[in-house]
Amino acid sequence: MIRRLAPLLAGIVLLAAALPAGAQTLLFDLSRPRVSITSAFAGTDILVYGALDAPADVIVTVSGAPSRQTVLRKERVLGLWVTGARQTFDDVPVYYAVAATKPLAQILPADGVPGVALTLAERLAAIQARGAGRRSSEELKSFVQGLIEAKRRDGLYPEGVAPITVLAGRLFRAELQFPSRLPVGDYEITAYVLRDGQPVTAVSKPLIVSKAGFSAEISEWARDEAPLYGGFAIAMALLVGWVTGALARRL
Amino acid sequence: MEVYLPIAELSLTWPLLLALGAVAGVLAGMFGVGGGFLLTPLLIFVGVPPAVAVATQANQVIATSVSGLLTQWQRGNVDVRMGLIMLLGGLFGSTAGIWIFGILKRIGQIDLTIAIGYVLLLTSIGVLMLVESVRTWRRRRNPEAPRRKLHQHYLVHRLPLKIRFYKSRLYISALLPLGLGFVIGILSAILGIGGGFILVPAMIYILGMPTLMVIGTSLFQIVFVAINVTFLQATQNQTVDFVLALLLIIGGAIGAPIGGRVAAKLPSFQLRGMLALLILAMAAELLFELFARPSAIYSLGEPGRGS
Repeated sequence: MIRRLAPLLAGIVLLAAALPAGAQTLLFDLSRPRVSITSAFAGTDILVYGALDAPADVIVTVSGAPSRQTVLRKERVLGLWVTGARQTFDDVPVYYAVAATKPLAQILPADGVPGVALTLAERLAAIQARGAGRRSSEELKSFVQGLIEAKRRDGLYPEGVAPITVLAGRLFRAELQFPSRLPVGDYEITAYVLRDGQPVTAVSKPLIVSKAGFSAEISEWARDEAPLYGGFAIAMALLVGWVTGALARRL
Repeated sequence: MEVYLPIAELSLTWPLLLALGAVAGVLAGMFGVGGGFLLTPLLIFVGVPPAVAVATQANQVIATSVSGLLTQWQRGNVDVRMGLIMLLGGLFGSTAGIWIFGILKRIGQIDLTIAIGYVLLLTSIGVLMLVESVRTWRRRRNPEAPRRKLHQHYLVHRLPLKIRFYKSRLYISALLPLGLGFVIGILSAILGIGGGFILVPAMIYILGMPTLMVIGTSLFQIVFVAINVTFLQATQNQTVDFVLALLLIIGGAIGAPIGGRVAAKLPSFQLRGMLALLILAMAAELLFELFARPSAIYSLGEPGRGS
C-alpha cells in the first residue's frame, strides 16, 4: 500500500510546490475509489490523503447516499412495549462521518457556517420529515435523536471526529473506518479547507460501496431470478439434508 | 472468521452461526423437533432482521426434516392420505401466512407479533409436555395408577366429511387434518418454525393417531410446507439468505447425531421433561423482554403506511 502510494504522494508534493501561494488549491484522493463488500467483509479502512498549498485547517465529511428512513418508537401499552409512533424522513444520509485537523469547536465559528452542513447535526437539519404536520417540533427533534441513536448502534454515524494529521503544513491524511454493516450506495467524500473558520475550497470525490464477488452474485440472483434462486435454495437444503442424514446413519 | 450474509446485509462470525445450527441439530436429534422455535429468536438476537431470520429458517427446516422423512418413509411410517390432506391445508395456511407477514411488516408490528406468538405457543406446549412427562414418571413409579384411555372421543369426532385412514386406523373428518395443517402452515410462515413440536402432540391428542405414524406423517407435512414457505419468501419478499441457510444446515448436520446419541442414553420422559423446561425458559425470557424497558426506544424500520 505504502509503496503504491509513494509516487502519488511525491507527485502531489511537486504539484503543490508548483502552485502559486494563495490560490487555495486543494488536492486529495482516496486509497481506493470503491469499497467491495465481499463474503469476508468485516468493515474496512480508507485512507484520504491530499495536499494544501499553505497551512490551513481541513475538514473531511463522508456522506452515504441520501435515502428514506423510518424511525419507529416503542411505547408502553398495558405494560407491553409495542411499536407505536413512526416517522419517515427523506434525504437521510445512510452513513455520516467527519474528520478534522482539530476539534471542530476550535475550527468553526460557534453558530456554524451558513449554507454549509459540516457536522452531523447540521446535515440532519436538512432532512425532510414526511407528513409531520401534526407533530410538534419537540417530538420531531426526539425522532431525529432516535434516528441518530439507532444509526450509532450500527456504527453508521460514528461519534466524535476522526483525526486528520498534517505533515509539514502541506500534506494531510486521514484514516476513515467503515463498519461491517455498511449499506451499499454512492457515498460522497468532501474535503474543505478553512481559513479563519470559513471554508474557502471544497472538493468532492465519490466513493462507491457495492457488493462484489460471491455475495454480489447471490444478492443479484435473489433479486433478478427469484424463482430460480428459491428453487436452488430448496434443492440445496434437500440435498445437504439427505446426504448428511445418510452419513450420520453410517457413523 | 466473519462472513457477509448477502441478503441479511451484515457480517457475522461464521463459527457462531454453525454453533446455532448445531444447537438446533442437537434438539432435532434428541427430541425429533426441528429446533426452529429456538433458532429464530436467537438469529434475531444476533442481529439478523426478523424477516430474513424467519424465511431462512424455513429453508433450514427442509434440510433437518428431509432425512428423517426418508427414513420414516422406508419404514412405511407415513400415512400418505393423512399427510396429503394436512399438506393441502398447510399450503393454503402458509400462503396466507406469508401474506399476513407482509402486512404486519408494513405496519411495523411483526416483531411484537413474533414475540407474543412465541410466548403463547411455547408456554402452552411447555406446560402440556411437562404435565405429560410428570404423568409418565408417576406411572413408572406406581404402575397401578389409572391409565388414560387409548382412544378418546371428543366433540371433534362428530364433524362431517369423515374419511377412513387405513394406516392410522382412524375414521375421522377430513376437516380435522385439513384445519390442523392450515393452522400449522400459518405459524410456519409467520414464526419460521417447522411446527413439529405443535404438530406431533396435536396429531396424537386431537387426531388420535398412533405414535408410530405421527413422526413420519408430520415430517411429510413439514418438508413440503417448508418448501412452499421458502419459495414464497424467496419470490415475494426476497428474504431467504442462502449463505446463512447453508451455515445453519451444516451446523445442524453436525449437531443431529450428537443429539441422537444423547437421546439413546436417556429415558424419553426425562427427555420430554427437559424439552418442556427449555421451552418454558424460552417463553419466560421472551415474556420478560416484552415487559422490560427496551434498551433502545427508537429503531429503524421499513417505511410503512400512514407514516
